Amino acid sequence: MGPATGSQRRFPSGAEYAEALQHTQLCFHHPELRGARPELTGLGLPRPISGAFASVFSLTSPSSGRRYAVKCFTRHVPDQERRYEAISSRLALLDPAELSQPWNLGFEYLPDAISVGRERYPVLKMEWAEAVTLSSWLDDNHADRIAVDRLADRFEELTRDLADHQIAHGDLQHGNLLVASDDTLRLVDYDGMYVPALAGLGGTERGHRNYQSPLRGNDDFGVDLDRFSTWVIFLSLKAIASEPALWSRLHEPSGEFLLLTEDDFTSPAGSARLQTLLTHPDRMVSGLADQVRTLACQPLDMLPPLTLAVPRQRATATVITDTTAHSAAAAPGTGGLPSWMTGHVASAASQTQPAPSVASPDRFQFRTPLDAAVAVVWPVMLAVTVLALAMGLSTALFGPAVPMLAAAAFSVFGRARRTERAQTRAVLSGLTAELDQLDDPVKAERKLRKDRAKFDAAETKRTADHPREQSKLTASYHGELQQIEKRRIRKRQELDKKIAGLSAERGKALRTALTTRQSAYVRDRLGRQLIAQNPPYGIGPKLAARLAAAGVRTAADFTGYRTVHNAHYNSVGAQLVLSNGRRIDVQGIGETKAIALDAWRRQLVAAAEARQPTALTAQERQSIDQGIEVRRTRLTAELLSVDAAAEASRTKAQKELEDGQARLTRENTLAGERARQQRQEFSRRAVTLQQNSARHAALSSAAETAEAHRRRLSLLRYLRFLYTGR
Amino acid sequence: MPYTAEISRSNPTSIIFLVDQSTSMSDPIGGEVPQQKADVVADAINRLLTELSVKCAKEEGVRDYFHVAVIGYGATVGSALAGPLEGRDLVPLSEVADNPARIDERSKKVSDGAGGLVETAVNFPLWMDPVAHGGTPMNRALQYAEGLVAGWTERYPAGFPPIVINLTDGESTDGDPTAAADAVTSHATADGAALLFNLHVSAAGGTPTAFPDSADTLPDSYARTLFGMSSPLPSHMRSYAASQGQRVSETTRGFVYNADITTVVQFLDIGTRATELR
Repeated sequence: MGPATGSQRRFPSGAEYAEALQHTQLCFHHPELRGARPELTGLGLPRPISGAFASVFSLTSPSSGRRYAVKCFTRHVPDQERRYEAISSRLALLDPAELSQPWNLGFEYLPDAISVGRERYPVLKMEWAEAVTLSSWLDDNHADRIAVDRLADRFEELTRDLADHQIAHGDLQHGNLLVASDDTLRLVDYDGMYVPALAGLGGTERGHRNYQSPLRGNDDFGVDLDRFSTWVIFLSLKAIASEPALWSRLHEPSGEFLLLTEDDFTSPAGSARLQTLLTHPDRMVSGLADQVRTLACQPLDMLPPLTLAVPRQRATATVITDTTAHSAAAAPGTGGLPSWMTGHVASAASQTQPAPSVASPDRFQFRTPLDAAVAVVWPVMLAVTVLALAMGLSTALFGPAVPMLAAAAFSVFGRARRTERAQTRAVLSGLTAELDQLDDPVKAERKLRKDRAKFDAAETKRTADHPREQSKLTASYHGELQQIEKRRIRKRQELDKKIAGLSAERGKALRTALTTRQSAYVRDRLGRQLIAQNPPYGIGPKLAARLAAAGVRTAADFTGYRTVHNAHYNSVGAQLVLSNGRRIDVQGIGETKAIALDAWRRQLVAAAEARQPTALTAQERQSIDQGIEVRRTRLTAELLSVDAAAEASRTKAQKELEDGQARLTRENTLAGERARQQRQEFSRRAVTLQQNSARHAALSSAAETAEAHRRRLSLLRYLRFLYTGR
Repeated sequence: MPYTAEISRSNPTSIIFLVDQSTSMSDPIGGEVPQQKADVVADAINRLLTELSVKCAKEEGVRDYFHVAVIGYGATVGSALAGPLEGRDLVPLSEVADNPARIDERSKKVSDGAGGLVETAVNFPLWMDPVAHGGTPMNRALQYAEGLVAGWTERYPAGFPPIVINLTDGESTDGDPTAAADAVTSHATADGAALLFNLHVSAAGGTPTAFPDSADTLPDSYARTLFGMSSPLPSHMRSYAASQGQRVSETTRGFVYNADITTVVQFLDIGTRATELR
């Protein structure tokens, strides 16, 4: 990061360009731009459309009447002119007839075209595209499934065009893909474009965060630059085509993305949006979502081009359009059964049982000898009765009805011996038994409905709880980060304060050291002044000897004196104060002598102080500076470690978040699996229930028939049968 | 990594300008034609607001990537916006862009393309007028900002943290502002602590400096205090400053001494990301 160089000059800001464009007859030389009319804002100022590197203005040429988009650069881009030349000549090679749609827009790089302040800067003069951005097109058209699906395919064709010519755009996103009125795409903003002639130059941008692989770095610049973003955009368009409601569910009204954002790529496990797409019932959507999830953690040069995935799907489409209904039925999503269902459906079909046949006889057939006998008994008994009545032999012994009753009893016996009755009864009881075994279908259905409703309520709650749990986790993560940041800032401020205080500390240390050095010097000087050799006024050798005996030999041995009042005698004496603070009486030292001693000492002190050192030696100074430097180094290291510790805490919090998210996802997957099993179980119950209810109806009607048959085998019918055989 | 959150309409951030309006701001300041400090500062604010509006202008108009407050401090502390936005503190940027107090015509010398200069009139939108009256209650101003910052971090706990930009001649009259500044930057979102940048407009001389990494070359204790209060530049901002040819290091701070502060708007990343310089 050296000093400013010519190639890194500061560019004007967007507002500076807007100001210059108030006078296009002054700022431009170019014949078509000079005096061009800029589109204005409501305030009457040139209206910008700004990106990260430039502001674009709409200018209408007074000479040609044509409208241009003029791009004014706000940041230095290395090798800009060379890049645009290479891009321009590569795009010029494209044959419009070979392109899927007229997506490329003409542009002209004009060096030194605009003057701002006292300098001139380049602009890019581009055709004005009458088209809307992909995101606003989706706002208006997302409900039109056919149009969105067609746009997805057009996008895929566009990426194919780019790949065929070894071009990569570098920043495919909702703002750089425009949709024209005929629903074909236009590609704008070629600043970061890769063409083969630029190989080795390096990229100038890293693309929009909500479209790029987490692994895209500064050095990535090659033909595979767009791969991740093409998958992201294709997935989004196909998903919206499959279910337009996803646009309102996953896209935020003013979000700078389609259906997925950066976070969905960096931590797919915690992403509710990606989960929605991964579990989408349309298998093309879930498949593409799975692809994006996988690609998010692969290095850029490992990513497959979008075109690799699509041919298969194209082939399917052809099959659908121009072959028989049979192959169409086999294609996914056109009425064929999902594979996981085939087993279940087939077995359900084979389980249907034959309808119960009512095999019970409803009339008597084939008379037996017993029947013949019964048939004979009736006329005989009738004759007997008639005879008995005629002979008057009646009555008391057996009434005239007796023979008839006997015949009747015999008939009953005969009928009872007929197998038809037993058969009917057996059939009927068989049916009743089977009916008893089947649950009442009405009750069973009510129970199933109740169980289902209960389960659905629980599921609704669970699925609603899941994102809540996730956001709770995220919120606590954010809270944690906030705390970490606050702690970090507090620690830094404390340390900053300590570091800032170091120079004051150094000053203090220097002063203290100097004072220490000075007092040591004075003490040393005083210690050399023997009282005996250089006696103060009034102190003779005798007194000096006494003083020496008491430990006071030099001026350094005492610090002063104290007067002592003796109240008894109203006399005043003196005590010498030793350098250790102790006070002593020395015979012969009264107040006067003490004052003399003290004055002598003061004089010596003053003399010593006058010659005491006034500065520290370089060595002393250096040792103090070293001490301070050590402290500074330690504090600075601490300062760095604060950041490192914060980073560690953040990593830990991130890890906890990821663990929590992974746990939630695991639980959710498990619960989802359980729910799926439960729902399957419900479906199985419903199928059984349907079968049972049909069976129940069949059985009931069979039982009714059997009962009717049973009723038809009456005594009267039997009697008729006896004589008619029918 | 802190300071990497996306600035978007659903996750906007706030920029709070604090403008010194004390009597001392009526003092003249250097240059060939001396200007009042208050004029310099009001001009900087108006240009910053224009710059922000242009940066966030898209096809359909200005997007609310930012909410902006302009707080003056002098005889009183409160919103310094004039015109339709008078009295408001945090205002969505689209409203700011559409509602300047007025549009002034200013004369400006521009190149005539033939090596000469020609004087023309340019339209210049204004949101606030220069004021110089009263003391310099910088502590109170910072406390006001702290209130706005605290509310914002609570509302958008995951977003890019608020940015407070203080424009002053440095002489606080209600005590050392360091503690109040620390209180502002003690608020944080999950993406990082609030940022405090300072523009020091001073007649004390010395070299004009933008985004220095040490206080050594600063001429007086006011400048050094303001440098000490300023947040270190987050890494992507450092990278941008470096791409403009400035010498930056780990300790580069958001402090500008007698120089243009409007470049700070270019430091804010929206949408497509630039490659970082190494």
